[in-house]
Amino acid sequence: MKNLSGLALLLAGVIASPVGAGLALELPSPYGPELIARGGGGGARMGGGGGARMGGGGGARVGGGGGGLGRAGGGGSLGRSGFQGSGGAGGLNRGVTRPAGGWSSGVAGGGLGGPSLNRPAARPGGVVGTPGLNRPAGTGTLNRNVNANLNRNVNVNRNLNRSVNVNRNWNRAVNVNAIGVRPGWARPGWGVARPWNHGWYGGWATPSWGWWGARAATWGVATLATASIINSAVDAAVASNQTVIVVPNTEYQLLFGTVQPTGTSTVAFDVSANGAVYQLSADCQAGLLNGQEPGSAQEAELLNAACQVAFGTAS
Amino acid sequence: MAALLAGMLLAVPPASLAQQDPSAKVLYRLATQCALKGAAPVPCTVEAVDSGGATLYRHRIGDSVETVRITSEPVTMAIWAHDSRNWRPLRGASARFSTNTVCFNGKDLCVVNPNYLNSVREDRANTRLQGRDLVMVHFGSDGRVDASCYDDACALLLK
Repeated sequence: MKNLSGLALLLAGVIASPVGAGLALELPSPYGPELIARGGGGGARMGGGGGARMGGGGGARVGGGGGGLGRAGGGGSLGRSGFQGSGGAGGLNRGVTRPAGGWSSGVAGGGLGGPSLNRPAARPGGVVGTPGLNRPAGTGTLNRNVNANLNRNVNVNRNLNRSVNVNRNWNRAVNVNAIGVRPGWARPGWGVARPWNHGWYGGWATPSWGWWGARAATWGVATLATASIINSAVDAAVASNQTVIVVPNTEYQLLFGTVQPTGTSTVAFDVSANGAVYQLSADCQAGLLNGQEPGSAQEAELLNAACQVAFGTAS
Repeated sequence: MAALLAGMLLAVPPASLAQQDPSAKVLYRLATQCALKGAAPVPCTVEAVDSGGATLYRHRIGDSVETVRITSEPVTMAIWAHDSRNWRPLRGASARFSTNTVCFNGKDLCVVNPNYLNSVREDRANTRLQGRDLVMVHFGSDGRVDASCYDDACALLLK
């Protein structure tokens, strides 16, 4: 990889001076990569000033953020050398662990443009920071301490006459864990990374679903959020390390990483509403939410968003 | 004797390696796209085989097969050299999550492989890739990683 030759220069510079990488870049070194790779010598860790950590007998590691290259600072213990385990290759490993959702057997054509190391172009309509689509973290909404009535699985609707309509047939989800909300596919490139190999797209890119038109007048709305809006919301959430998107035009928060197809047109997912998390199902083809027609425009938007994340076109 | 056998095993062509190793199992077969030496993408298939301490990625592109072998602890990568009939250590590898792309030896072999990246992403012991999109690693002469970079740092260094 001749393109990484510049990296060798950086590493040499870091070794030559325990200062930041920026300065190291200005200090070309006469040492070749082989010398650099053995720069760890006795394995001392050089810290401070954003310097690199030099592992014993290995070499320097360039990475991390904020100018800190590895774990800077003193301390006599070598700790993790940086050359063992999963992090030994900058975080790459041999990819043997089966990810949540399983292995994909095919990559959809969709927006796939072939292999590329270039940063992908932004989605139409914006990718990051679309106003109003993502609630800022730390608002407390997800962790709100609600009253005891919310702990029942039944009669939730009658006890909650707030702005969010929680349907009485929604079941409380009990197993929302880190992996559940952060599966491997819920990352940049999620559209292609979704590991399921089936799905009902229905030729849908912009409303309407087959089930939408008849109910729209009743709900008093004309359109559902478009695929690009939902995709952008997921993109923005991924970029800001969040696990939820606010479903457009609702106060529902979809835990998009929990979206999991249960068939070619059905999906299960978790949604947060009024401080509680509910596990729902949807039939994207029939337009059913937990086996029922959406009871409101908000529920229709939720159904729409979950189905888009699961089956919609996304690059 | 063990070392001799291990050496023989390492030199066995990848197609028969999986057959000879009773513990080997196919993780997945993926129909995707590959690109060789920066050329236009072409359809290809990837067969991932867990073979004990290594994972083999067999890329079938038309009539040719390129097999990459990745070990753990330490992480090393090598490609099967058809001429010498042996594993040739890689000089580097890179991955771009947002395009689901993994490249070996610069752009000698690039492939869209979301399965690999999903698996890497779910390595909970590894926090180094959180929030990262691009990662590049360089292998030293001993076959081990001697440098890695992330995101904009890679772009700076490649100028």
